[in-house]
Amino acid sequence: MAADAPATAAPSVPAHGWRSSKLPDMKLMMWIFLASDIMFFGTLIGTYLIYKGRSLTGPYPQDVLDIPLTTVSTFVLLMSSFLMVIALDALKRNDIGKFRLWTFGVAFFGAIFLGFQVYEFNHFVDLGLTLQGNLFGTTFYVLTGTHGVHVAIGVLWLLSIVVASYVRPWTSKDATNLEVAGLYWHFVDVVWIVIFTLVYLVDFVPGAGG
Amino acid sequence: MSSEHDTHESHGIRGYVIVALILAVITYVEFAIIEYEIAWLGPGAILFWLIALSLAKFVMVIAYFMHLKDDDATYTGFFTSGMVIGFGTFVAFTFLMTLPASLPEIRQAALTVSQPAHGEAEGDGYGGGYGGGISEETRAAIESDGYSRPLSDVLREGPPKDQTLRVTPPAAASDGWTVALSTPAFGAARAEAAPAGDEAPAPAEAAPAPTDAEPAPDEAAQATEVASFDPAAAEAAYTANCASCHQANGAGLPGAFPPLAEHFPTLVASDAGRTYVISSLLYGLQGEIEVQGMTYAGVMPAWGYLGDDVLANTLNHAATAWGNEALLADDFTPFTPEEVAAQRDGGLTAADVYELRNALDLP
Ligand code: HEC
Repeated sequence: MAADAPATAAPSVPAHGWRSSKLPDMKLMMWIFLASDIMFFGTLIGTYLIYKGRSLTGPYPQDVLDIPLTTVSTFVLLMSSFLMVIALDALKRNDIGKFRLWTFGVAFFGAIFLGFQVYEFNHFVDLGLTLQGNLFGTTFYVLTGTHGVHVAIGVLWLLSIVVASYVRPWTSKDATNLEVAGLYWHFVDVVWIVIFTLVYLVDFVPGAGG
Repeated sequence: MSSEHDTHESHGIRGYVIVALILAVITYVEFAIIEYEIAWLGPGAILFWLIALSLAKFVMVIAYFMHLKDDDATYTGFFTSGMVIGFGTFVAFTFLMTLPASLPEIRQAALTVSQPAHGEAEGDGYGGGYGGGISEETRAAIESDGYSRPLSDVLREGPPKDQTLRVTPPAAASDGWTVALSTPAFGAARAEAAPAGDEAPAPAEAAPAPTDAEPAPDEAAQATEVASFDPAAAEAAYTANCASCHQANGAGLPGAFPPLAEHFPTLVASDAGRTYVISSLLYGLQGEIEVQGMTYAGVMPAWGYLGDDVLANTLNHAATAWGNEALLADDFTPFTPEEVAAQRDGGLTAADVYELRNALDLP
Protein backbone atom coordinates (compact mmCIF):
# COMPACT_ATOMS: atom_id res chain seq x y z
CA MET A 1 0.00 0.00 0.00
CA ALA A 2 2.48 2.57 1.16
CA ALA A 3 4.80 1.80 -1.76
CA ASP A 4 2.53 3.65 -4.17
CA ALA A 5 1.88 6.59 -1.92
CA PRO A 6 4.02 9.17 -3.76
CA ALA A 7 2.25 8.37 -6.99
CA THR A 8 -1.04 9.64 -5.67
CA ALA A 9 0.37 13.17 -5.86
CA ALA A 10 0.66 12.90 -9.65
CA PRO A 11 -2.67 11.96 -11.24
CA SER A 12 -1.00 11.47 -14.60
CA VAL A 13 0.60 8.13 -13.69
CA PRO A 14 -1.00 5.05 -15.31
CA ALA A 15 -4.38 4.44 -13.84
CA HIS A 16 -3.90 1.18 -12.05
CA GLY A 17 -0.60 2.40 -10.64
CA TRP A 18 -2.37 4.39 -7.98
CA ARG A 19 -5.79 2.86 -8.05
CA SER A 20 -4.48 -0.42 -6.77
CA SER A 21 -3.76 1.25 -3.49
CA LYS A 22 -7.37 2.26 -3.04
CA LEU A 23 -10.65 0.54 -2.65
CA PRO A 24 -12.27 0.03 -6.06
CA ASP A 25 -14.85 2.79 -6.54
CA MET A 26 -17.46 0.42 -7.89
CA LYS A 27 -17.24 -1.89 -4.96
CA LEU A 28 -17.44 0.93 -2.47
CA MET A 29 -20.44 2.36 -4.26
CA MET A 30 -22.15 -1.00 -4.23
CA TRP A 31 -21.67 -1.36 -0.49
CA ILE A 32 -23.05 2.12 0.07
CA PHE A 33 -26.02 1.28 -2.12
CA LEU A 34 -26.58 -1.93 -0.18
CA ALA A 35 -26.46 0.01 3.07
CA SER A 36 -29.24 2.24 1.78
CA ASP A 37 -31.15 -0.71 0.36
CA ILE A 38 -31.12 -2.50 3.68
CA MET A 39 -32.81 0.53 5.25
CA PHE A 40 -35.38 0.32 2.50
CA PHE A 41 -36.08 -3.33 3.17
CA GLY A 42 -35.92 -2.71 6.91
CA THR A 43 -38.81 -0.29 6.55
CA LEU A 44 -40.85 -2.70 4.44
CA ILE A 45 -40.24 -5.60 6.79
CA GLY A 46 -41.03 -3.36 9.76
CA THR A 47 -44.29 -2.30 8.15
CA TYR A 48 -45.17 -5.92 7.52
CA LEU A 49 -44.49 -6.88 11.12
CA ILE A 50 -46.37 -3.93 12.57
CA TYR A 51 -49.51 -4.77 10.62
CA LYS A 52 -49.11 -8.47 11.22
CA GLY A 53 -52.25 -10.01 12.71
CA ARG A 54 -54.27 -6.85 12.18
CA SER A 55 -56.10 -7.83 9.04
CA LEU A 56 -59.85 -7.58 9.58
CA THR A 57 -60.67 -10.13 6.94
CA GLY A 58 -58.90 -13.14 5.50
CA PRO A 59 -57.11 -14.75 3.90
CA TYR A 60 -54.65 -14.83 6.77
CA PRO A 61 -51.02 -15.93 6.42
CA GLN A 62 -51.73 -19.49 7.58
CA ASP A 63 -54.45 -19.83 4.97
CA VAL A 64 -52.20 -19.20 2.00
CA LEU A 65 -48.49 -19.56 2.78
CA ASP A 66 -46.95 -22.81 1.64
CA ILE A 67 -43.84 -23.65 3.65
CA PRO A 68 -42.55 -26.68 1.67
CA LEU A 69 -42.79 -24.75 -1.60
CA THR A 70 -41.06 -21.69 -0.21
CA THR A 71 -38.38 -23.82 1.41
CA VAL A 72 -37.52 -25.14 -2.03
CA SER A 73 -37.36 -21.67 -3.57
CA THR A 74 -35.29 -20.46 -0.61
CA PHE A 75 -32.93 -23.34 -1.21
CA VAL A 76 -32.66 -22.48 -4.91
CA LEU A 77 -31.76 -18.90 -4.07
CA LEU A 78 -29.14 -19.99 -1.52
CA MET A 79 -27.53 -22.29 -4.04
CA SER A 80 -27.48 -19.53 -6.63
CA SER A 81 -25.37 -17.59 -4.15
CA PHE A 82 -23.01 -20.53 -3.99
CA LEU A 83 -22.72 -20.62 -7.80
CA MET A 84 -22.00 -16.92 -7.67
CA VAL A 85 -18.87 -17.32 -5.57
CA ILE A 86 -17.74 -20.23 -7.76
CA ALA A 87 -18.21 -18.09 -10.86
CA LEU A 88 -16.14 -15.29 -9.37
CA ASP A 89 -13.49 -17.77 -8.35
CA ALA A 90 -13.33 -19.13 -11.91
CA LEU A 91 -13.01 -15.67 -13.40
CA LYS A 92 -10.20 -14.81 -11.01
CA ARG A 93 -8.42 -17.94 -12.21
CA ASN A 94 -9.06 -16.91 -15.82
CA ASP A 95 -11.20 -20.00 -16.37
CA ILE A 96 -13.58 -18.20 -18.72
CA GLY A 97 -15.64 -21.25 -19.67
CA LYS A 98 -16.55 -22.05 -16.07
CA PHE A 99 -17.07 -18.38 -15.28
CA ARG A 100 -19.68 -18.13 -18.05
CA LEU A 101 -21.31 -21.39 -17.10
CA TRP A 102 -21.68 -20.58 -13.40
CA THR A 103 -22.74 -16.99 -14.01
CA PHE A 104 -25.42 -18.24 -16.33
CA GLY A 105 -26.31 -20.81 -13.66
CA VAL A 106 -26.84 -18.04 -11.11
CA ALA A 107 -29.17 -16.20 -13.47
CA PHE A 108 -30.97 -19.46 -14.22
CA PHE A 109 -31.51 -20.25 -10.53
CA GLY A 110 -32.67 -16.68 -10.02
CA ALA A 111 -35.19 -17.19 -12.81
CA ILE A 112 -36.43 -20.37 -11.14
CA PHE A 113 -36.91 -18.45 -7.92
CA LEU A 114 -38.91 -15.85 -9.82
CA GLY A 115 -40.96 -18.61 -11.40
CA PHE A 116 -41.87 -19.86 -7.92
CA GLN A 117 -42.85 -16.36 -6.93
CA VAL A 118 -45.02 -15.82 -9.98
CA TYR A 119 -46.73 -19.14 -9.29
CA GLU A 120 -47.14 -18.22 -5.62
CA PHE A 121 -48.63 -14.80 -6.35
CA ASN A 122 -51.05 -16.28 -8.90
CA HIS A 123 -52.10 -18.95 -6.48
CA PHE A 124 -52.58 -16.43 -3.66
CA VAL A 125 -54.74 -14.21 -5.81
CA ASP A 126 -56.88 -17.25 -6.61
CA LEU A 127 -57.24 -17.81 -2.88
CA GLY A 128 -58.50 -14.26 -2.51
CA LEU A 129 -55.37 -12.52 -1.27
CA THR A 130 -55.06 -9.26 -3.13
CA LEU A 131 -53.03 -6.09 -2.83
CA GLN A 132 -56.09 -4.13 -1.65
CA GLY A 133 -58.01 -6.88 0.12
CA ASN A 134 -56.50 -6.73 3.58
CA LEU A 135 -53.45 -5.50 5.46
CA PHE A 136 -51.69 -8.82 5.10
CA GLY A 137 -52.09 -8.73 1.31
CA THR A 138 -50.90 -5.15 1.07
CA THR A 139 -47.79 -5.53 3.18
CA PHE A 140 -46.98 -9.02 1.91
CA TYR A 141 -47.13 -8.16 -1.79
CA VAL A 142 -45.26 -4.88 -1.40
CA LEU A 143 -42.45 -6.55 0.55
CA THR A 144 -42.03 -9.75 -1.44
CA GLY A 145 -42.79 -7.93 -4.69
CA THR A 146 -40.00 -5.44 -4.04
CA HIS A 147 -37.69 -8.32 -3.34
CA GLY A 148 -38.80 -10.04 -6.54
CA VAL A 149 -38.01 -6.90 -8.53
CA HIS A 150 -34.52 -6.96 -7.01
CA VAL A 151 -34.10 -10.56 -8.11
CA ALA A 152 -35.32 -9.74 -11.61
CA ILE A 153 -32.82 -6.88 -11.90
CA GLY A 154 -30.08 -9.23 -10.72
CA VAL A 155 -31.01 -11.84 -13.31
CA LEU A 156 -30.88 -9.27 -16.10
CA TRP A 157 -27.58 -7.92 -14.82
CA LEU A 158 -25.97 -11.37 -14.71
CA LEU A 159 -27.27 -12.29 -18.15
CA SER A 160 -25.86 -9.05 -19.52
CA ILE A 161 -22.50 -10.01 -18.03
CA VAL A 162 -22.60 -13.38 -19.79
CA VAL A 163 -23.44 -11.62 -23.07
CA ALA A 164 -20.77 -8.99 -22.52
CA SER A 165 -18.16 -11.67 -21.96
CA TYR A 166 -18.76 -12.86 -25.54
CA VAL A 167 -18.67 -9.38 -27.02
CA ARG A 168 -15.38 -8.53 -25.35
CA PRO A 169 -13.75 -11.55 -23.76
CA TRP A 170 -13.43 -11.07 -20.00
CA THR A 171 -10.28 -11.86 -18.06
CA SER A 172 -9.38 -11.91 -14.41
CA LYS A 173 -8.90 -8.13 -14.70
CA ASP A 174 -12.68 -7.83 -14.89
CA ALA A 175 -13.17 -9.68 -11.64
CA THR A 176 -14.27 -6.54 -9.80
CA ASN A 177 -17.16 -6.09 -12.23
CA LEU A 178 -18.41 -9.56 -11.45
CA GLU A 179 -17.71 -9.18 -7.76
CA VAL A 180 -19.91 -6.10 -7.58
CA ALA A 181 -22.78 -7.92 -9.30
CA GLY A 182 -22.13 -10.74 -6.88
CA LEU A 183 -22.40 -8.45 -3.87
CA TYR A 184 -25.78 -7.31 -5.12
CA TRP A 185 -26.87 -10.89 -5.68
CA HIS A 186 -25.80 -12.11 -2.25
CA PHE A 187 -27.54 -9.17 -0.67
CA VAL A 188 -30.79 -10.10 -2.36
CA ASP A 189 -30.26 -13.59 -0.99
CA VAL A 190 -29.63 -12.27 2.50
CA VAL A 191 -32.83 -10.23 2.44
CA TRP A 192 -34.72 -13.33 1.43
CA ILE A 193 -33.25 -15.23 4.37
CA VAL A 194 -34.83 -12.65 6.64
CA ILE A 195 -38.14 -12.61 4.78
CA PHE A 196 -38.35 -16.39 4.77
CA THR A 197 -38.09 -16.46 8.54
CA LEU A 198 -40.09 -13.41 9.55
CA VAL A 199 -42.83 -13.58 6.94
CA TYR A 200 -43.18 -17.28 6.25
CA LEU A 201 -41.91 -19.46 9.09
CA VAL A 202 -42.91 -17.35 12.06
CA ASP A 203 -46.60 -17.54 11.14
CA PHE A 204 -46.53 -21.24 11.74
CA VAL A 205 -45.00 -21.21 15.18
CA PRO A 206 -47.65 -22.98 17.26
CA GLY A 207 -49.62 -20.53 19.33
CA ALA A 208 -48.25 -17.41 17.64
CA GLY A 209 -51.33 -15.50 16.53
CA GLY A 210 -54.62 -17.06 15.47
CA MET B 1 1.90 -14.00 -6.92
CA SER B 2 -0.21 -15.79 -9.48
CA SER B 3 0.49 -19.33 -8.26
CA GLU B 4 -0.04 -18.30 -4.68
CA HIS B 5 -3.30 -16.78 -5.82
CA ASP B 6 -4.37 -20.05 -7.41
CA THR B 7 -3.81 -22.19 -4.36
CA HIS B 8 -5.60 -19.63 -2.27
CA GLU B 9 -8.63 -19.77 -4.52
CA SER B 10 -8.95 -23.52 -4.71
CA HIS B 11 -8.61 -23.61 -0.97
CA GLY B 12 -11.42 -21.07 -1.02
CA ILE B 13 -13.69 -23.33 -3.07
CA ARG B 14 -13.64 -25.99 -0.41
CA GLY B 15 -14.61 -23.31 2.10
CA TYR B 16 -17.48 -22.16 -0.12
CA VAL B 17 -18.77 -25.71 -0.44
CA ILE B 18 -18.77 -26.12 3.32
CA VAL B 19 -20.58 -22.81 3.80
CA ALA B 20 -23.15 -23.76 1.15
CA LEU B 21 -23.72 -27.11 2.83
CA ILE B 22 -24.22 -25.49 6.22
CA LEU B 23 -26.66 -23.01 4.69
CA ALA B 24 -28.62 -25.84 3.11
CA VAL B 25 -28.71 -27.80 6.36
CA ILE B 26 -29.87 -24.77 8.34
CA THR B 27 -32.65 -24.15 5.83
CA TYR B 28 -33.74 -27.73 6.17
CA VAL B 29 -33.71 -27.53 9.96
CA GLU B 30 -35.84 -24.38 9.87
CA PHE B 31 -38.27 -26.14 7.57
CA ALA B 32 -38.34 -29.22 9.77
CA ILE B 33 -39.01 -27.23 12.93
CA ILE B 34 -42.17 -25.83 11.40
CA GLU B 35 -43.25 -28.76 9.28
CA TYR B 36 -42.92 -31.46 11.92
CA GLU B 37 -44.23 -29.29 14.75
CA ILE B 38 -41.53 -30.06 17.24
CA ALA B 39 -43.84 -30.07 20.21
CA TRP B 40 -41.29 -30.29 23.00
CA LEU B 41 -39.96 -26.87 22.04
CA GLY B 42 -42.26 -24.16 23.35
CA PRO B 43 -43.39 -21.38 20.99
CA GLY B 44 -40.84 -19.05 22.54
CA ALA B 45 -37.99 -21.48 21.98
CA ILE B 46 -39.09 -22.15 18.40
CA LEU B 47 -39.19 -18.45 17.68
CA PHE B 48 -35.77 -18.04 19.23
CA TRP B 49 -34.24 -20.82 17.16
CA LEU B 50 -35.82 -19.67 13.93
CA ILE B 51 -34.42 -16.20 14.40
CA ALA B 52 -31.03 -17.46 15.57
CA LEU B 53 -30.73 -19.81 12.60
CA SER B 54 -31.67 -17.18 10.05
CA LEU B 55 -29.25 -14.78 11.69
CA ALA B 56 -26.53 -17.41 11.32
CA LYS B 57 -27.32 -17.73 7.62
CA PHE B 58 -27.40 -13.98 7.24
CA VAL B 59 -23.97 -13.60 8.82
CA MET B 60 -22.45 -16.49 6.89
CA VAL B 61 -23.51 -15.22 3.50
CA ILE B 62 -22.20 -11.77 4.29
CA ALA B 63 -18.97 -12.92 5.87
CA TYR B 64 -17.99 -15.66 3.42
CA PHE B 65 -19.87 -15.19 0.16
CA MET B 66 -19.62 -11.42 0.23
CA HIS B 67 -16.11 -11.71 1.65
CA LEU B 68 -16.79 -9.12 4.26
CA LYS B 69 -14.78 -11.14 6.76
CA ASP B 70 -11.50 -10.67 4.91
CA ASP B 71 -12.27 -7.48 3.06
CA ASP B 72 -11.58 -3.87 3.88
CA ALA B 73 -13.21 -2.70 7.10
CA THR B 74 -14.63 0.33 5.28
CA TYR B 75 -17.23 -1.90 3.61
CA THR B 76 -18.22 -3.43 6.89
CA GLY B 77 -18.54 0.05 8.32
CA PHE B 78 -20.94 1.19 5.64
CA PHE B 79 -23.03 -1.92 5.75
CA THR B 80 -23.26 -2.05 9.52
CA SER B 81 -24.31 1.56 9.78
CA GLY B 82 -26.98 0.90 7.17
CA MET B 83 -28.20 -1.99 9.25
CA VAL B 84 -28.16 -0.02 12.46
CA ILE B 85 -30.13 2.82 10.90
CA GLY B 86 -32.51 0.35 9.28
CA PHE B 87 -33.11 -1.45 12.53
CA GLY B 88 -33.42 1.86 14.39
CA THR B 89 -36.09 2.95 11.92
CA PHE B 90 -37.90 -0.29 12.55
CA VAL B 91 -37.82 0.11 16.31
CA ALA B 92 -38.92 3.74 16.15
CA PHE B 93 -41.71 2.76 13.77
CA THR B 94 -42.94 0.00 15.99
CA PHE B 95 -42.88 2.29 18.98
CA LEU B 96 -44.79 5.05 17.22
CA MET B 97 -47.34 2.65 15.82
CA THR B 98 -48.08 0.74 18.98
CA LEU B 99 -48.08 3.60 21.46
CA PRO B 100 -51.18 5.44 20.22
CA ALA B 101 -53.00 2.12 20.04
CA SER B 102 -52.46 1.43 23.70
CA LEU B 103 -53.35 4.92 24.91
CA PRO B 104 -57.15 4.51 24.80
CA GLU B 105 -56.77 1.26 26.71
CA ILE B 106 -54.83 3.00 29.41
CA ARG B 107 -57.42 5.71 29.67
CA GLN B 108 -60.13 3.14 29.68
CA ALA B 109 -58.45 1.33 32.55
CA ALA B 110 -58.17 4.58 34.43
CA LEU B 111 -61.85 5.29 33.91
CA THR B 112 -62.95 1.93 35.09
CA VAL B 113 -60.94 2.24 38.23
CA SER B 114 -62.40 5.61 39.04
CA GLN B 115 -65.99 4.61 38.48
CA PRO B 116 -66.86 4.05 42.12
CA ALA B 117 -66.36 7.77 42.57
CA HIS B 118 -68.66 8.79 39.75
CA GLY B 119 -71.63 9.32 41.98
CA GLU B 120 -70.15 12.52 43.33
CA ALA B 121 -69.72 14.00 39.92
CA GLU B 122 -73.14 13.22 38.62
CA GLY B 123 -75.43 16.06 37.73
CA ASP B 124 -72.84 18.71 38.23
CA GLY B 125 -73.68 20.39 35.00
CA TYR B 126 -70.97 19.23 32.68
CA GLY B 127 -72.69 19.24 29.34
CA GLY B 128 -70.53 19.50 26.29
CA GLY B 129 -67.13 18.28 25.44
CA TYR B 130 -67.77 14.59 25.08
CA GLY B 131 -69.47 13.59 21.90
CA GLY B 132 -71.77 10.73 21.04
CA GLY B 133 -70.90 7.17 21.83
CA ILE B 134 -69.86 7.85 25.40
CA SER B 135 -72.39 6.87 28.01
CA GLU B 136 -73.52 9.13 30.80
CA GLU B 137 -71.72 6.96 33.25
CA THR B 138 -68.45 7.02 31.39
CA ARG B 139 -68.68 10.74 30.91
CA ALA B 140 -69.28 11.32 34.56
CA ALA B 141 -66.29 9.19 35.30
CA ILE B 142 -64.08 11.23 33.01
CA GLU B 143 -65.23 14.41 34.70
CA SER B 144 -64.63 13.18 38.17
CA ASP B 145 -61.42 11.30 38.07
CA GLY B 146 -57.95 12.53 38.47
CA TYR B 147 -56.41 9.57 36.79
CA SER B 148 -56.86 10.14 33.11
CA ARG B 149 -53.40 11.56 32.90
CA PRO B 150 -51.17 11.02 29.91
CA LEU B 151 -49.21 7.78 29.97
CA SER B 152 -45.94 9.63 30.18
CA ASP B 153 -47.06 11.25 33.44
CA VAL B 154 -48.19 7.99 34.92
CA LEU B 155 -44.91 6.36 34.05
CA ARG B 156 -42.83 9.25 35.35
CA GLU B 157 -44.70 10.07 38.53
CA GLY B 158 -45.99 6.63 39.18
CA PRO B 159 -49.60 5.62 39.55
CA PRO B 160 -51.94 7.58 41.81
CA LYS B 161 -51.73 6.86 45.53
CA ASP B 162 -53.06 3.52 46.66
CA GLN B 163 -53.14 2.18 43.15
CA THR B 164 -50.82 -0.07 41.28
CA LEU B 165 -49.85 0.00 37.65
CA ARG B 166 -50.05 -3.38 35.99
CA VAL B 167 -48.34 -3.82 32.65
CA THR B 168 -49.14 -7.08 30.90
CA PRO B 169 -47.29 -8.28 27.83
CA PRO B 170 -49.41 -9.39 24.89
CA ALA B 171 -50.69 -12.95 25.22
CA ALA B 172 -50.65 -13.45 21.49
CA ALA B 173 -48.60 -11.69 18.87
CA SER B 174 -51.69 -9.92 17.65
CA ASP B 175 -52.60 -8.38 20.99
CA GLY B 176 -51.26 -5.16 22.32
CA TRP B 177 -49.64 -4.50 25.67
CA THR B 178 -52.17 -3.85 28.37
CA VAL B 179 -51.58 -1.26 30.97
CA ALA B 180 -54.05 -1.13 33.78
CA LEU B 181 -54.39 0.74 37.02
CA SER B 182 -55.87 -1.20 39.83
CA THR B 183 -56.85 -0.46 43.39
CA PRO B 184 -56.11 -3.02 46.08
CA ALA B 185 -59.70 -2.55 47.18
CA PHE B 186 -60.81 -4.13 43.94
CA GLY B 187 -58.84 -7.26 44.50
CA ALA B 188 -59.98 -7.44 48.09
CA ALA B 189 -63.60 -7.12 47.08
CA ARG B 190 -63.22 -9.95 44.63
CA ALA B 191 -61.38 -12.14 47.08
CA GLU B 192 -64.22 -11.68 49.54
CA ALA B 193 -66.93 -12.21 47.01
CA ALA B 194 -65.65 -15.53 45.79
CA PRO B 195 -65.74 -17.59 48.97
CA ALA B 196 -68.98 -16.02 50.12
CA GLY B 197 -70.70 -17.72 47.23
CA ASP B 198 -73.98 -15.90 47.71
CA GLU B 199 -73.39 -13.46 44.91
CA ALA B 200 -75.13 -13.63 41.59
CA PRO B 201 -73.33 -16.20 39.46
CA ALA B 202 -71.74 -13.57 37.25
CA PRO B 203 -68.96 -12.09 39.35
CA ALA B 204 -69.58 -8.50 38.41
CA GLU B 205 -68.81 -7.46 41.95
CA ALA B 206 -66.92 -4.42 40.75
CA ALA B 207 -69.98 -2.89 39.17
CA PRO B 208 -71.07 -0.07 41.44
CA ALA B 209 -74.77 -0.51 40.61
CA PRO B 210 -76.36 -3.11 42.87
CA THR B 211 -78.07 -4.91 40.01
CA ASP B 212 -77.78 -8.24 41.76
CA ALA B 213 -80.48 -7.24 44.21
CA GLU B 214 -82.52 -10.37 43.59
CA PRO B 215 -81.44 -13.10 45.92
CA ALA B 216 -79.29 -15.75 44.36
CA PRO B 217 -80.94 -19.13 43.92
CA ASP B 218 -79.81 -21.95 46.15
CA GLU B 219 -77.89 -23.68 43.42
CA ALA B 220 -75.73 -20.60 43.22
CA ALA B 221 -73.52 -22.23 45.76
CA GLN B 222 -71.86 -23.80 42.77
CA ALA B 223 -71.00 -20.34 41.64
CA THR B 224 -67.90 -20.46 43.74
CA GLU B 225 -66.49 -22.82 41.13
CA VAL B 226 -67.49 -20.63 38.26
CA ALA B 227 -64.74 -19.00 36.27
CA SER B 228 -64.60 -15.31 36.95
CA PHE B 229 -63.45 -12.50 34.73
CA ASP B 230 -62.00 -9.08 35.24
CA PRO B 231 -64.72 -6.49 34.46
CA ALA B 232 -62.16 -3.79 33.75
CA ALA B 233 -60.36 -5.94 31.20
CA ALA B 234 -63.71 -7.00 29.74
CA GLU B 235 -64.79 -3.42 29.26
CA ALA B 236 -61.43 -2.49 27.76
CA ALA B 237 -61.62 -5.40 25.31
CA TYR B 238 -65.15 -4.43 24.29
CA THR B 239 -64.26 -0.76 23.92
CA ALA B 240 -61.23 -1.51 21.82
CA ASN B 241 -62.86 -4.01 19.46
CA CYS B 242 -66.62 -3.74 19.43
CA ALA B 243 -67.70 -0.27 20.54
CA SER B 244 -66.97 1.32 17.16
CA CYS B 245 -70.01 -0.51 15.78
CA HIS B 246 -72.16 -1.71 18.66
CA GLN B 247 -71.40 1.52 20.57
CA ALA B 248 -70.04 1.97 24.06
CA ASN B 249 -73.56 1.85 25.50
CA GLY B 250 -74.42 -1.32 23.59
CA ALA B 251 -77.26 0.37 21.73
CA GLY B 252 -75.77 -0.19 18.28
CA LEU B 253 -76.91 1.98 15.41
CA PRO B 254 -80.48 1.34 14.27
CA GLY B 255 -80.49 -0.27 10.85
CA ALA B 256 -76.71 -0.68 10.70
CA PHE B 257 -75.35 -2.40 13.80
CA PRO B 258 -77.67 -4.41 16.03
CA PRO B 259 -77.90 -3.47 19.71
CA LEU B 260 -76.42 -5.80 22.29
CA ALA B 261 -77.98 -4.05 25.29
CA GLU B 262 -81.15 -5.81 26.44
CA HIS B 263 -80.62 -8.30 23.62
CA PHE B 264 -77.43 -10.24 24.22
CA PRO B 265 -78.84 -12.25 27.17
CA THR B 266 -81.55 -13.74 24.93
CA LEU B 267 -78.86 -14.95 22.55
CA VAL B 268 -76.85 -16.76 25.19
CA ALA B 269 -79.77 -18.32 27.07
CA SER B 270 -78.98 -21.75 25.57
CA ASP B 271 -75.77 -23.67 24.95
CA ALA B 272 -76.44 -23.48 21.22
CA GLY B 273 -76.73 -19.73 21.64
CA ARG B 274 -73.37 -19.56 23.36
CA THR B 275 -71.84 -21.52 20.52
CA TYR B 276 -73.50 -19.17 18.08
CA VAL B 277 -72.16 -15.92 19.59
CA ILE B 278 -68.65 -17.35 19.89
CA SER B 279 -68.80 -18.49 16.26
CA SER B 280 -70.10 -15.10 15.18
CA LEU B 281 -66.92 -13.57 16.57
CA LEU B 282 -64.55 -16.23 15.24
CA TYR B 283 -66.01 -16.46 11.75
CA GLY B 284 -68.10 -13.33 11.29
CA LEU B 285 -71.80 -13.07 10.57
CA GLN B 286 -73.63 -12.40 7.36
CA GLY B 287 -77.35 -12.58 6.65
CA GLU B 288 -80.54 -10.73 7.43
CA ILE B 289 -81.40 -10.75 11.10
CA GLU B 290 -84.10 -9.08 13.14
CA VAL B 291 -83.32 -7.54 16.49
CA GLN B 292 -85.89 -5.69 18.57
CA GLY B 293 -88.16 -5.22 15.60
CA MET B 294 -85.46 -3.79 13.36
CA THR B 295 -83.95 -5.59 10.38
CA TYR B 296 -80.18 -5.77 9.94
CA ALA B 297 -78.62 -7.06 6.75
CA GLY B 298 -75.04 -6.18 7.43
CA VAL B 299 -71.83 -8.09 7.72
CA MET B 300 -69.84 -8.47 10.87
CA PRO B 301 -66.20 -9.23 10.06
CA ALA B 302 -64.48 -12.15 11.76
CA TRP B 303 -62.51 -11.42 14.92
CA GLY B 304 -60.66 -14.72 15.02
CA TYR B 305 -57.29 -13.01 15.04
CA LEU B 306 -58.01 -11.65 18.51
CA GLY B 307 -56.93 -13.83 21.41
CA ASP B 308 -59.28 -16.24 23.15
CA ASP B 309 -59.16 -14.20 26.33
CA VAL B 310 -59.93 -10.95 24.52
CA LEU B 311 -62.94 -12.49 22.80
CA ALA B 312 -64.21 -14.06 26.02
CA ASN B 313 -63.86 -10.65 27.63
CA THR B 314 -65.86 -8.85 24.94
CA LEU B 315 -68.66 -11.40 25.37
CA ASN B 316 -68.59 -11.10 29.14
CA HIS B 317 -68.88 -7.36 28.89
CA ALA B 318 -71.81 -7.68 26.48
CA ALA B 319 -73.43 -10.14 28.88
CA THR B 320 -73.11 -8.06 32.02
CA ALA B 321 -73.02 -4.38 31.02
CA TRP B 322 -75.89 -2.00 30.39
CA GLY B 323 -78.25 -3.80 32.74
CA ASN B 324 -77.90 -7.03 30.77
CA GLU B 325 -76.70 -8.82 33.85
CA ALA B 326 -80.18 -8.71 35.38
CA LEU B 327 -81.62 -10.35 32.25
CA LEU B 328 -79.26 -13.31 32.23
CA ALA B 329 -80.51 -16.80 32.94
CA ASP B 330 -79.83 -17.91 36.50
CA ASP B 331 -77.38 -20.55 35.43
CA PHE B 332 -75.38 -18.24 33.22
CA THR B 333 -71.64 -18.67 33.59
CA PRO B 334 -69.09 -16.22 32.22
CA PHE B 335 -67.39 -17.08 28.95
CA THR B 336 -63.89 -18.48 29.37
CA PRO B 337 -60.96 -18.37 26.94
CA GLU B 338 -61.15 -22.19 26.85
CA GLU B 339 -64.74 -22.09 25.70
CA VAL B 340 -63.75 -19.75 22.87
CA ALA B 341 -60.73 -21.84 21.97
CA ALA B 342 -62.92 -24.92 21.68
CA GLN B 343 -64.86 -23.31 18.80
CA ARG B 344 -61.75 -22.49 16.80
CA ASP B 345 -60.81 -24.65 13.84
CA GLY B 346 -64.51 -25.09 13.09
CA GLY B 347 -63.81 -23.73 9.63
CA LEU B 348 -67.20 -22.00 9.41
CA THR B 349 -68.08 -19.15 7.09
CA ALA B 350 -70.08 -16.06 8.04
CA ALA B 351 -73.04 -17.65 6.24
CA ASP B 352 -72.71 -20.89 8.26
CA VAL B 353 -72.86 -18.81 11.41
CA TYR B 354 -76.04 -17.25 10.11
CA GLU B 355 -77.53 -20.76 9.87
CA LEU B 356 -76.51 -21.35 13.48
CA ARG B 357 -78.50 -18.29 14.43
CA ASN B 358 -81.55 -19.41 12.48
CA ALA B 359 -81.46 -22.74 14.30
CA LEU B 360 -81.83 -20.92 17.61
CA ASP B 361 -85.22 -20.51 19.17
CA LEU B 362 -85.11 -16.76 19.59
CA PRO B 363 -88.09 -14.87 20.99
C1 HEC C 1 -67.52 -3.42 11.86
C2 HEC C 1 -68.62 -3.23 12.77
C3 HEC C 1 -68.73 -4.30 13.89
C4 HEC C 1 -67.86 -4.52 14.91
C5 HEC C 1 -66.55 -3.80 15.19
C6 HEC C 1 -68.44 -5.57 15.71
N1 HEC C 1 -69.64 -5.96 15.20
FE1 HEC C 1 -70.91 -7.34 15.97
N2 HEC C 1 -72.15 -7.07 14.40
C7 HEC C 1 -71.98 -6.16 13.37
C8 HEC C 1 -73.06 -6.31 12.43
C9 HEC C 1 -73.23 -5.48 11.15
C10 HEC C 1 -73.87 -7.35 12.91
C11 HEC C 1 -75.13 -7.89 12.25
C12 HEC C 1 -74.75 -8.81 11.10
C13 HEC C 1 -75.94 -9.21 10.28
O1 HEC C 1 -76.74 -8.34 9.96
O2 HEC C 1 -76.03 -10.39 9.94
C14 HEC C 1 -73.27 -7.80 14.16
C15 HEC C 1 -73.79 -8.81 14.96
C16 HEC C 1 -73.29 -9.16 16.19
C17 HEC C 1 -73.86 -10.16 17.06
C18 HEC C 1 -75.07 -10.98 16.76
C19 HEC C 1 -76.32 -10.27 17.14
C20 HEC C 1 -77.51 -11.14 16.92
O3 HEC C 1 -78.62 -10.71 17.21
O4 HEC C 1 -77.38 -12.28 16.46
C21 HEC C 1 -73.10 -10.22 18.17
C22 HEC C 1 -73.31 -11.11 19.40
C23 HEC C 1 -72.02 -9.27 18.01
N3 HEC C 1 -72.17 -8.65 16.80
C24 HEC C 1 -71.03 -9.05 18.94
C25 HEC C 1 -69.91 -8.30 18.68
C26 HEC C 1 -68.77 -8.24 19.56
C27 HEC C 1 -68.64 -8.94 20.90
C28 HEC C 1 -67.86 -7.44 18.95
C29 HEC C 1 -66.45 -7.12 19.44
C30 HEC C 1 -65.52 -8.22 19.33
C31 HEC C 1 -68.44 -6.97 17.72
N4 HEC C 1 -69.68 -7.52 17.58
C32 HEC C 1 -67.84 -6.08 16.85
C33 HEC C 1 -70.95 -5.25 13.26
C34 HEC C 1 -69.85 -5.19 14.08
